[in-house]
Amino acid sequence: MLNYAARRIGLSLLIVVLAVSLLFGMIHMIPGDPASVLLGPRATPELRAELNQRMGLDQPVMVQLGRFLLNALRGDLGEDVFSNRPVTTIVLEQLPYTVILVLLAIGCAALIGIPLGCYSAIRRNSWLDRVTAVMSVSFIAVPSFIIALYALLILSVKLRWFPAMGAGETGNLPDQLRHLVLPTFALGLGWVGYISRLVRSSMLEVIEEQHVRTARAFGLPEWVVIRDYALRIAILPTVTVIGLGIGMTLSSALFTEIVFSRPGIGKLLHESVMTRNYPVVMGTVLITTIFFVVATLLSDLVNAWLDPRLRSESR
Amino acid sequence: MNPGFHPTRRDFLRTVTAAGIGVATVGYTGPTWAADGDILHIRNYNSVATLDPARMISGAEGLIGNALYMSLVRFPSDGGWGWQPDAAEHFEQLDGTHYAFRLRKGQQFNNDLGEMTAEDVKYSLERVIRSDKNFPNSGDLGTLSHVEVEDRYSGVIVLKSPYAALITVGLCQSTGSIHSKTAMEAVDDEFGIHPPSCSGPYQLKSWQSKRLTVLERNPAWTGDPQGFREIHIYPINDPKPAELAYEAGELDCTQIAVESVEVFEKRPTPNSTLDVRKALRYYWIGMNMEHPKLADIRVRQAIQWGIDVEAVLKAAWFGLAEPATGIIAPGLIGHREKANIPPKGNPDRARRLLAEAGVKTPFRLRLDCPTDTLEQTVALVAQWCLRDIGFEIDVRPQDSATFLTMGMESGDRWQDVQLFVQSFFMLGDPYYATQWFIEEQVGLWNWERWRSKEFDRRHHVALGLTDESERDRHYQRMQQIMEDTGCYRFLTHGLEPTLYRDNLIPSFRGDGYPIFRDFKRV
Amino acid sequence: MGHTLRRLRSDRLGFLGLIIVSTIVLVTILANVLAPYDPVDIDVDARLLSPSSDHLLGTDQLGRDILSRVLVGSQVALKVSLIAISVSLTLGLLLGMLAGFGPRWLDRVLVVGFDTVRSFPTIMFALAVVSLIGPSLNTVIGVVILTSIPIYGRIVRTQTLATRDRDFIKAEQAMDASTGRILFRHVLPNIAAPLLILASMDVPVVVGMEAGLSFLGLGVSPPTPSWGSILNDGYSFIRNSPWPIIAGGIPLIVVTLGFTFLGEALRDILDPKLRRSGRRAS
Repeated sequence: MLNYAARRIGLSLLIVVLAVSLLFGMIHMIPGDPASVLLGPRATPELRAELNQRMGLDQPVMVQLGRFLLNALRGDLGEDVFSNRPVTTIVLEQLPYTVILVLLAIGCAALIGIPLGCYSAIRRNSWLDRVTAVMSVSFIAVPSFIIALYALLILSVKLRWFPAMGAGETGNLPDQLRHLVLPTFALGLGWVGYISRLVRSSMLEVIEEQHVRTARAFGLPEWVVIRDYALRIAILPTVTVIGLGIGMTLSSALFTEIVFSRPGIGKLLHESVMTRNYPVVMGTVLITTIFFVVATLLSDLVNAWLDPRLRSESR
Repeated sequence: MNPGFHPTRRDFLRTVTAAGIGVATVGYTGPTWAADGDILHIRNYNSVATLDPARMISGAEGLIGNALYMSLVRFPSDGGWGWQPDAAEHFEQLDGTHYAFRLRKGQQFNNDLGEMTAEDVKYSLERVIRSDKNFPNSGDLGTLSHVEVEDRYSGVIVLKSPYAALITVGLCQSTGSIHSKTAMEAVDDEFGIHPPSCSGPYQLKSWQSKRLTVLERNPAWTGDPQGFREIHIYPINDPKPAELAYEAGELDCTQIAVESVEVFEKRPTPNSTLDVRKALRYYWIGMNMEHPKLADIRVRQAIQWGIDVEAVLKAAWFGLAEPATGIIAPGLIGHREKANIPPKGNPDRARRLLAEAGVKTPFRLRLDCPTDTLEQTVALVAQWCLRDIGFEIDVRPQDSATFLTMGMESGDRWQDVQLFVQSFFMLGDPYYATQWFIEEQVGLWNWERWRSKEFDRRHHVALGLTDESERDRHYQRMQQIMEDTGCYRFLTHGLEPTLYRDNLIPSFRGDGYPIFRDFKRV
Repeated sequence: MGHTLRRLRSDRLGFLGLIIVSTIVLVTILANVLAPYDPVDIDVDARLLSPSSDHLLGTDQLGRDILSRVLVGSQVALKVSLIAISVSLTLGLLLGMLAGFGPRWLDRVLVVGFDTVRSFPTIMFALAVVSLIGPSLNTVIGVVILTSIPIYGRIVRTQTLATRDRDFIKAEQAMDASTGRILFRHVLPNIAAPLLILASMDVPVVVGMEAGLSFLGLGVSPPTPSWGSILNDGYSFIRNSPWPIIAGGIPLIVVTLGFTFLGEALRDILDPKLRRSGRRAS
């Protein structure tokens, strides 16, 4: 197991470096550079050279990349081209918004999805099971930004029940929660469908298994059987799948942040690419990729721990 | 200041240039009808990266600067383009290169820095043009040579050669603001956000990057009582979230998007006034005359005559804006009453011109525009108009960073530029518009790449004149030259629609931007 | 095939999906005929109108008929799906088989390659690429292909590996059967069903991606209609008129639902084992 874990971690590190390097290269090939944008026509060639030099933008791409990675190891992600603030600070300022949104969305979805899935498994083919099945598929299928747009249109613009933008006042928790309702809803709806289906199918498998039947035979109440035997096992695939789904949620989170004008990593990424704010782009990409790779890594590790066969799968 | 930046509404994709990307995080501090009569909640169109006037890139920073610092003279609070005394009780132009001033006695800087003297004026103005510092805004003070101090309160500003825009562009904007020499020397003339000294009615209380700037009463202020105890300034690029914040009661005053004007008129927000002011910005469709496809002037003229500006205005500005006759808006010296080509254009004439040019139709051309909804709409209407004439236009929206650098020779895309939708920011003096079209600017901001000795000559001459009617004639002729090249189809100067509470008495500059320091409650 | 269709009929959702998909395909092919107006025709006096007998779904901010734009927009969605999925499927197939059957080092390299591409947030990747090349449908298709290849590739690889180790393959190898023949006769049939199911489940994802990128302004160039760009315009004018958003969202919902219902039903019929394979990351 340890062997496998070490290999996976090494691989993950490699992937992070590769991904970041690839994007670094691509960003630098995009026309337009911060010096021109920043200084405009007042920029004499000397001023621009000075800015480029100050930012380290005049070095060959490989050198910039190398310096970036080296500095990143020390936690220094450079400085924002326009405001000179450390990128690490900027990213860490925005990260909590996205993390909260994603966790809340998945959390709420789990709270609703798990019981739904359980119930569907137990009361197979009841009308609730059928309805849940259809709704689950539907929620998964529809892109979350559409849900976000409709929620915005109906619940915010037309009915005025919820605020349409922003994260709410800092320090004012009820206000912030109000601002989280619609984005969480948009992001989490697909997850509800997903989780309930997953729980349902794993529960169906487990429910018929030997030890569950034995527990029943012993006369334990049904709900205890479900909770302590069936659910406990059925939950596990759900957990690993959540790890894999984090990446997908990140993309959806970008759209949600844009539709609702919420601060967050997605919006930051988007804006910094548009303004060629290279340091912020790289810092955000690095952190996002790490986030994603770690999630995948964790779920792979958990999976491998559960199912030893998988450990030799990667040759 | 960079002419390419956009201070007006943009859709969410729009990220304004340089200083700051306003993430729409509005820290709501509660409904304004609570005991907040003392606090003004107002939107600024961009976030603040520096409050050093010599370094300010965004006009949004200048708006805050006008509340923090005094200048010798300032814009009037009634929306006109003249000027009125500010720190100076007496200000007079002696001749083309000399301006005399006398400060009021007893004006104080904050932070116990003492009384404002002519030495402070000398220091503040001369620092902007220091050659070792290379401040981006040194050009605003034009041909400033030095300031002579005569006594404690008076002095003379000396120019190397006449510079007609000294007052409007140099002094009334924040660039010419007055700082405490003592304080500035103590920080070696460099400051980012926290001003070492404030001479204006307000001082900086706090600043959160891209979230909130708070101004508070400057205790050292000796002029008219300030309107508010604090001013909370929210940087919100996109007017849509700002409108929503206003409706939620979190803002007292904000500019709104052009398309929202009809929404507000149909369903007015209670206790609010909508004030639609004309802006100074100038929008046009430009053509790169060095591109082989556009080399024939008849092709360019066909495009000029083929674009129906009234249709463009109806679509993009909801019919609320007026057609422009050039780059200088009404109210400024040099404004043209009529252009060569009427706003409606003339499709028949356009077709004839194209036929004369003998090109094969449909004639394919590329039209670049920023991704903003407004400019894209302009591009699409132009495309549709020109389709009728025999052009096949390929519209290419570009995000702002890519678009802004498109025509610059420092990149490698300038040779492919054909048609583009462009707009520049404007200040209160006409030279500020013509300066971007002189020969030196080819490869920088003159993307049309045309050259005219007459234009350049008139530009330099007019900058140094003091006679307004003479200047007026020069600028009118310059715009005619521009139109004659066939490279320009002038569109409009745009709008600044502002929404504010009925219990506010706002104050605006001639270009529709708010003068924070003059806002008061009823 | 007939057996599948019969079974499909008994699965109500699947059947519904089939009907929806067939209708969509029909509408897409006939879109230009069905559309009452030219989708790019501007009428500045008829802007942001609500639905009426003249314009069944109203007009957008340039006075263009939304119904026509929605109909013609379907061509974009399905064109992108068709091209993107078939190309990435083919390439994924090739690379996956290479990885499964080829030398170990090649497999390692390909796996790392797959994982690297999958570890980008897709949108980030799309943003960078589109800004580089310029927004266009081809760029969107390219991005979708690049991000899809690893998905197919990994599944093919897994299957290839599994098949490779089976005894009868080893027997054939001992008899000097060429690799190509083995791949073609044994690996391919085993993969066909799962791949096709994955592809049909992928259509909604790809359509969603194209819509999303067009929504961000990174997809089709104006004035080409695409559901995503209709939504983008609608978002800018959301307070002036809700109709562009309503009209732009409905076809997306219908398409994604239709293909998903169909795909799920197919999967149930053809390969119940695949029930547990997770959704693909985007």
